[in-house]
Amino acid sequence: MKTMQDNITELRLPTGARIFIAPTSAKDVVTIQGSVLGGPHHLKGGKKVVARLCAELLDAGTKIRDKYLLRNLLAVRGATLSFASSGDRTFFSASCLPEDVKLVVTIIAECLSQSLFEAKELELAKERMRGALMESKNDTYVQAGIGFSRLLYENTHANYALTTDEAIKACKKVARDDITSFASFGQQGMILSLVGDLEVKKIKKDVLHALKTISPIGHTVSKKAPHTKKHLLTDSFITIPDKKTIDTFFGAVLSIRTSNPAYLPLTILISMLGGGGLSSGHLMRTIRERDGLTYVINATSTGFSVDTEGIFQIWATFSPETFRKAVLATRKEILTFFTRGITEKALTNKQTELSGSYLVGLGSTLGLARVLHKIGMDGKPLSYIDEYPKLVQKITLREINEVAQLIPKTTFSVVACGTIA
Amino acid sequence: MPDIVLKMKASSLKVPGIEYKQTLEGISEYVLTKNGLRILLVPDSATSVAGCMVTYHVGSRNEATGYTGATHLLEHLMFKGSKKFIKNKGTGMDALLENRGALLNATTWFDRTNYYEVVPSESLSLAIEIEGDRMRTATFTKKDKEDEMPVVRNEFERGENHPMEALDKAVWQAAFVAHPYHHSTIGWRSDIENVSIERLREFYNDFYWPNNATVTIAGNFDTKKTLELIKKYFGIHTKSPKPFPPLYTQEPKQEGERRVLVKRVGTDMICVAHKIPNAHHADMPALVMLASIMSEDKTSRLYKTFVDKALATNVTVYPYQLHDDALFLTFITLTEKLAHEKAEKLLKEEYSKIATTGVSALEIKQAKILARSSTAERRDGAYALLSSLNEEIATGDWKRFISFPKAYQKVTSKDIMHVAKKYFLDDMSTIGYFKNTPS
Repeated sequence: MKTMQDNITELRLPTGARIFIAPTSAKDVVTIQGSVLGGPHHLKGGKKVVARLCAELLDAGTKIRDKYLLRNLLAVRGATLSFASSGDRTFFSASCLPEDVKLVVTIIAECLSQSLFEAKELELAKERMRGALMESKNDTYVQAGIGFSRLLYENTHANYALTTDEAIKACKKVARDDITSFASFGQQGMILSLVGDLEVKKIKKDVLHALKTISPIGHTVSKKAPHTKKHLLTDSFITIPDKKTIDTFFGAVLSIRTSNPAYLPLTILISMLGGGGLSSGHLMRTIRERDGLTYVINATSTGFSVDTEGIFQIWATFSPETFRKAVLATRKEILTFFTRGITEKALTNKQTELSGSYLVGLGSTLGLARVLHKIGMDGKPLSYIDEYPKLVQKITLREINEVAQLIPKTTFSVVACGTIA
Repeated sequence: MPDIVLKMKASSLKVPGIEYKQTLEGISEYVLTKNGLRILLVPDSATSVAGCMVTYHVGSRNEATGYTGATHLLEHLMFKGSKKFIKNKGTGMDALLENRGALLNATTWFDRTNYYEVVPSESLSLAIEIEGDRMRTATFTKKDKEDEMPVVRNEFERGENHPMEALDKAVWQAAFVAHPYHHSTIGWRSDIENVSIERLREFYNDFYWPNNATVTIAGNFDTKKTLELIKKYFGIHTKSPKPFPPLYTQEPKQEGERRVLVKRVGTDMICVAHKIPNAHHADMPALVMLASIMSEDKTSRLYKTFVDKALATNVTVYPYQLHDDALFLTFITLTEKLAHEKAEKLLKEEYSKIATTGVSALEIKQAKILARSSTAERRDGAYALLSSLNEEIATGDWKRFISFPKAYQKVTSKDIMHVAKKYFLDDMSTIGYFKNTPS
């Protein structure tokens, strides 16, 4: 039987770059997802904002073309390109017509290797960033998230967030030299996935040619301080006036990484507790459906990577009038889940669901491109694309219960932001 | 599959009681003759998933004071159960579908409500069965409504946290005084809290009928078997026993600029809205292209005027393509460098330039090629196809999915100047300011 892997070509370059080319039945659409090493984790303290500013400036002019020429070149072809940064990486995302793949990959490579980072563009980017940060000061979700990260991680941890005021201050101080010394992106650790209306042979040649402008060597994976902060139950409320709903985070840091065999059972457990969807997670069935205390409540793993611990996190929005009741009810339901919700039947249901939703997620060029990119980032072999549903099916109740023991469910901290009634 | 082959295949399928109508660019239309249910089938054998969607021609335009938000609240209640799918018996529809990996949900908008499921192909029959059952046998009770109301109210509250949503509501409310586009789809908080179960039941019985709905199936499926399933599960319903309640309210002509101010903790922004015609009007392709030229990407006029100079962090233009006359909205999120009044002046100057000097050939070329990409993206996967078709069905004619991109490719600079002159008039505008005002 033909596997998904059979339709995908992987190129592993001597530099360490991994390229995935996946032709699909989509017509006139090519989706590109990729990343290079080099992100906020490579920077310390306030300097972390340099990665964000750098990503914003990557398409603001290169040694070959000024920003107008570069952006027009894409626009006249109906192509889109954007850059962003987080964790250890700078990400790029593009879409274009099939005949323009060579050009778009060439421009991506040009931006990554030959951007000018002109001083006047940096000043404008800093002003825009200040504006966006000022905006986020009144965003309950953003502020609760920042508070949560600062409460749970020690300030030396890679995932420890700057306050918005710290970021504003740091942004003001960024000099052009900060950007140019950071922007040493290389092929080592680069991931590029191209999916859609593609002819493999041609694309292979075009991509290899285009990537030549990128240095073989750039950032390596950054060294991180391990998580050592002792977890304590702490509740914190951040007030922003005039808000009609309260963004609320519950959770704790777990000292495991994505390379740990317990990570896959952990993701299944999290999905059983608070998976997306209308009723596939325990918390949606109880806190929303039974108690009517929220519009949405979900559990996720955030901040985990091959070399960072992350947070087992539950997020919900609660009405100010019922906030306290909702927090208590959620704490209670988390415990109910861990004492009575982890059953053979619940696991089997979740395994079937995850296998099906995985297939559904691969049903668009963007879905497939993202999965391939993640396989690359996680250092998994391409065969993982077919293996994942099988691995999910193999997880046993014992493994789920073992990983459940790692979770300090009785002492989850809570950080909320909004206007209390 | 080429249209001619698909057409031959589609028209030769004989499922008694289902009449083949036409095939256009891969989409085949049928009608269930007994009750007038429209069926659209879009096969794609290369995928392993399939999507099912039912679009009802009912939205917030069918509501009035006292029951604003009713369409949306009803949409939530439609998951509570139906004759065959009963939560407390372990056959709740969302659990059954999600356990198979379905992507499912429902959405409500001005002119329509849709329910959809994207599933591994082998589960398509379940999705069709569920949609067929809840079309006429939804079992929501007073208790269900009381349980669900706070959930919906929290959804309302979440929107209120966002300055853009608060300003958007205020602008529509000022721009439309008579037509129900006056209120947002989520409705007023007091209506969400107090609408009666009887009113919701009446609403369901007024609009949830096969002859007010379209079933769309996209992805990998067997056409004949699928038509048989649709006949089996939707064919048990009769057509509506009475005409659908008509919407006869028309918006009176606006006779002067309107202004609204929202003072709240948030982000400084402005919104400038102009009245535009309905989705099927001949001027619509030029208006949509104008929106693209103004704000689509970093080469757009408003990006260069505002964001590139760090006067704003974001510029967004929405040319609403609705069943009835609607709005062309421009939102600008300001940085500290730009005051509301100055932003409004600059924005008006930009639209005025279009009316006097038009747009360049390059801008037209860019907009058209971008449309080629976005037209292709509408078919990138079952979900994308369903959600794009859904919006065209809502305008009253699904074939706009095919005709609009063609009309768009014919737009000229002259057309753009014409619409800018015709619709971007101060007396037909509504200006909204959101002022970050600490309590």
